[in-house]
Amino acid sequence: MAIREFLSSRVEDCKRLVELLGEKFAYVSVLGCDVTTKNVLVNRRTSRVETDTDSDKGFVVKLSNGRAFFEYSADDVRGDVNALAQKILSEAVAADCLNDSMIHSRPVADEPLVKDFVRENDFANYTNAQLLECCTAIKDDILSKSENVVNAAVMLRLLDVNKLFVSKNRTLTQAYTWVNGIMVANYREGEKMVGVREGECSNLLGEVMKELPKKADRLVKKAQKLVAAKPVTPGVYDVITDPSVTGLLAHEAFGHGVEMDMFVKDRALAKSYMGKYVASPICNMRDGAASTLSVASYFFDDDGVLAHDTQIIKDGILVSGISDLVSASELGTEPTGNGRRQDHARKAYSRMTNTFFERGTDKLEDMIASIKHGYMIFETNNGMEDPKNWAIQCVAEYGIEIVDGKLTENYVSPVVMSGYVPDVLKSISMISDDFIVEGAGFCGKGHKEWVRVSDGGPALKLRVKLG
Amino acid sequence: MKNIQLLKSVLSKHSGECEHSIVANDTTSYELFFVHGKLETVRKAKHSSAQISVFVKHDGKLGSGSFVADESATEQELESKIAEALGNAKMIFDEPYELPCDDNQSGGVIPSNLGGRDEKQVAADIAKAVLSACTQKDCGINALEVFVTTRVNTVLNSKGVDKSQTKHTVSVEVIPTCNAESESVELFETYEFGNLDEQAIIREIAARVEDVSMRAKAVKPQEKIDCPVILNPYDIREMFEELVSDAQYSSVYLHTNLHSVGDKWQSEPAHDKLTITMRGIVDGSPASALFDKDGTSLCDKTIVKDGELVANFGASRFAQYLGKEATGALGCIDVEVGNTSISELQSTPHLECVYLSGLQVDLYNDYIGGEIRLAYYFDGEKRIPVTGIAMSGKLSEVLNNVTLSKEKVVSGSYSGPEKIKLGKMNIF
Repeated sequence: MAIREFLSSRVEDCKRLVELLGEKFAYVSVLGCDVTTKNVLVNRRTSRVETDTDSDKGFVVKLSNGRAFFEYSADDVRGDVNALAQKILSEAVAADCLNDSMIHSRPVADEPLVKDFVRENDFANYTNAQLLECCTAIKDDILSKSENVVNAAVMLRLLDVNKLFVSKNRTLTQAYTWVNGIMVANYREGEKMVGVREGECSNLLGEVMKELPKKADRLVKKAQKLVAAKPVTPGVYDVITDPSVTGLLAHEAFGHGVEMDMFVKDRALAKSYMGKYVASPICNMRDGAASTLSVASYFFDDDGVLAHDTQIIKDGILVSGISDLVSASELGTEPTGNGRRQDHARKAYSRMTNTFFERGTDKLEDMIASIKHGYMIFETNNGMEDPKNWAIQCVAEYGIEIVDGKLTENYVSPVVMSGYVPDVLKSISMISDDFIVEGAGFCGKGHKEWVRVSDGGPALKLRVKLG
Repeated sequence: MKNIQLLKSVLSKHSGECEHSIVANDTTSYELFFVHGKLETVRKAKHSSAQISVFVKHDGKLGSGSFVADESATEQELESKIAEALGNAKMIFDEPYELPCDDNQSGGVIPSNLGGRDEKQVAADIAKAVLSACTQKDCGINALEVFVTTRVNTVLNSKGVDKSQTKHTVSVEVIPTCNAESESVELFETYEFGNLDEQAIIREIAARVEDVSMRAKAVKPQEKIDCPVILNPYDIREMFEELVSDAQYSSVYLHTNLHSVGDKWQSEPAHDKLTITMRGIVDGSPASALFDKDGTSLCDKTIVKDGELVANFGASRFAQYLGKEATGALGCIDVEVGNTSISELQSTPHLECVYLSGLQVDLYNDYIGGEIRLAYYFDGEKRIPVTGIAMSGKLSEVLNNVTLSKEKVVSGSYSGPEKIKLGKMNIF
């Protein structure tokens, strides 16, 4: 068992808790979380090294008896397990007036499996001093490139995940890591200020420390361009999305729309479009913790369901959604390993993991050459879904005007892309043969429940409203 | 937090080599999740943790290191984490600053009518209020989440600060839905309250149900609309949160602020002038606090007066760097109301935004805009529900053309005019 002592020492407590609560409930599981973090941040005038300031350590018990689901989150399960079981039974209950208004749910599958999953990492090879030195050197390099850089910030964010899942028939553990390197510059020319960023991510710290410094030059050159950027003239244009914005489109257009807890609530139009064309026939889209190696590549989800690689759109046809245990139970489907929690104190929902469009066959230069007047747009800022009514808004950091098949020096910023999802996806006419998935994102469910996600894909050519 | 005494004891062994602070949070939450009016999940959560920071003076500079300790941490684990944090602190070369001293303000309970009430019954009462508010034909509440939360926040440091504050809040996420013949449409509504008023909840949800029924009838305008835009409290809050972040001491110290004291946010105000005060406590606001994470008691500060930035605000560290008075990290934005009634604001042609995909406010790029999912267009005679359009404008021009309602509202961290009319917006 490769998990740390906090969880490994509590396996028997979890099993005992499952046994005790199993006397009252048909399904009982315990998820243990021991997620440690380290953030090293250096900017022009301050620095810090923080350990575990966004960590997650604790347990959540899940219960089902054919009606509503009940959960109890606690910092520890060690000690008097009998007393804890009694506490759970007395506190994770509804007011009497609600007893008659609970759902009826199907029995939860609990297939036998005992397994430990481990992804090797290199965190132990580097000291805090080396991390600080790396960030400081990059910061100094950025500042040295122009007097107009008023501030530069460089951050390494290390994530080290240990999880334990125990039910009557399953005992699973997993251990894996992820690293995000981020650099940000604030650049001022006269009255105009811009903020720009670059990033690098990997499961290996050494990889990020090697690749991140190479992006400092690009960061400052981008700032020099964006400080002169103008707003885009609102209108409908031929647009090419870079892999980051492609990923945002996948995420907002059909990622949220196929989270199947939204099907249960009748909040997703996609429910009635299964088996129908929703995108151009050249489009293929996937999601899954097992679909690629990135920040959301776990081995089992927070319901103890093994990671999947789910095809969502195949040749333009919507073929599958993604689900957590509760929504699958209510819909009578198999869970797809997409049950995720922000932390042990929060509920699990159907959530995306690594979401992307698959690569196509076109060359990027041919895609640019095919546009008389339009824009290539770059870098995700944020987006907002509307699974019920398929409106979409994606905000990109900047765009470059394309005139007569060539990228110009005309930069626009910010760029807000909006439209009706099927119109946008059916307008996709070319897909590049390259492919990047970026693992630096966070995704909320509505305005809360933040989980780490990746998204990306190739470049797409489409027609859409910019404003 | 149960093991706070252990933390204090272990830290006291290092009193000769460092200063320290402890920020502990104990949170209990009771939660109900409904789907189509049926109870799907019941949750109870209890969580405690503490962030410990150590501060070491060395080489004429100050270094700090932080870590988080949980309830299960043993003395040996704490010793190990402190040793690592001290090592980290000695590698940091920040400008020196002092931790706040005890100011004899001990904290307390943030005023709320939720204190002492049974959390299960409060959650059930809220659910009943929300679900009962939907009486329109073809409309329903597809999903409802209720969170009843109590947070106890304790701050201690080696300079004698030792204070706690208790905050009771309720959060609600509601999805009103209208199943019209042509299509089914929804709105997404979130609320956070520091006080509970069930009748106000019923009125609010009933109004949103009316809105969602209008979304089912909303059409994309055939012709370009050219008129001022009226924002609702949620989007007004988004706008002011972005604006005031520029006025923080930390932004000034790091040179990332766009505006300096004396600069005009409104260079040529055509209508109302903005006056904004950052406050610690606003009655009913879930952002209310008695002190910040340094333990600094919050001190209200007017930062914008008649459209001009007159002061910055923020926590002790950056205030010391700038030689300013520490206001604490004030969380409530209080905007002075105007003299125009909502009915007057609505009496001339306008586009009143009900539901945006998200208001984008970009101070650096001088931009404000967003995609409109439901708005009411008043053409001077009729009020028409519209959708499928977007808006954008130059933030600096828009700020010169604001009209503030005289009716006041509290929405999350924002308190101020219930409606704001913005001129110079391009609708497309």
